[in-house]
Amino acid sequence: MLNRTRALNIARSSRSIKKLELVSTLQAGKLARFSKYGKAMGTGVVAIDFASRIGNVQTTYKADGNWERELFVESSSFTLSALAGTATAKAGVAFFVVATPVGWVGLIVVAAATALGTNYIVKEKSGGWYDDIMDWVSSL
Amino acid sequence: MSFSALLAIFAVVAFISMALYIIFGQVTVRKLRKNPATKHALGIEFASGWDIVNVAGALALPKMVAQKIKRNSVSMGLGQGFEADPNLLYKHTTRFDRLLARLFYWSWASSGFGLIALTLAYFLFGFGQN
Repeated sequence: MLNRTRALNIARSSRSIKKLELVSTLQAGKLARFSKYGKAMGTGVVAIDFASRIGNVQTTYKADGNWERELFVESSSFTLSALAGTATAKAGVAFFVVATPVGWVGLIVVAAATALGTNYIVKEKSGGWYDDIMDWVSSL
Repeated sequence: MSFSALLAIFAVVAFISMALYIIFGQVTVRKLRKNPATKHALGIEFASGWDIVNVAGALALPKMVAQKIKRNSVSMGLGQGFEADPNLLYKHTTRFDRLLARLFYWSWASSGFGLIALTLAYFLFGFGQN
């Protein structure tokens, strides 16, 4: 990285870090690290979560259970909990929770808790939706 | 109306908004990412695809509000790149892009806050627990 222009160009073409033009370099470093961790961790967590959901569907299938119903429950709770978590994080950022003592960590914890909670209630209720939809389809 | 039915309504809106998310991302944000003028004005990307929500917010909220959010984020020391730049994005988008942004953003926001509200109601006040 001896050539400054080249370093700058590389930084500019990356989609994640360059967007931070922060006033203090300390904050820039913190945010960039946070954003990196967020990306890596986010993908990892999603991968683990996804695998466990597929596992649940497969277990149900192996046990001769209603695996289509399980698939419906798992996929809808996955989507909805992701949406609720994102909405929480975005709202927190918009209301500048990050600038208060609650900070980034608090925001992440709250967003994760919302996602888990939404996941829980959707899992509990969506089986009933599936049954209703199936009843409706078979009554046509 | 039962808790389950209310949740189902938000779920349907959420599925529609997820479809709109993909469409808006592919139609509008892809174009903006390729455009050198707007490439760096799409806001921070915490997770892949986060800029889609940033852009949608900048175009869907009333312009005054979007500008205020942008200004506040700068004055909070979060930097120019933290939020998407509504003024620049308005110049580089068509009416159709903005319509798409509004459809996506409001379905996303309403279902998101509906889900959050129901989750809180369930765990804090015991609504819908049988």
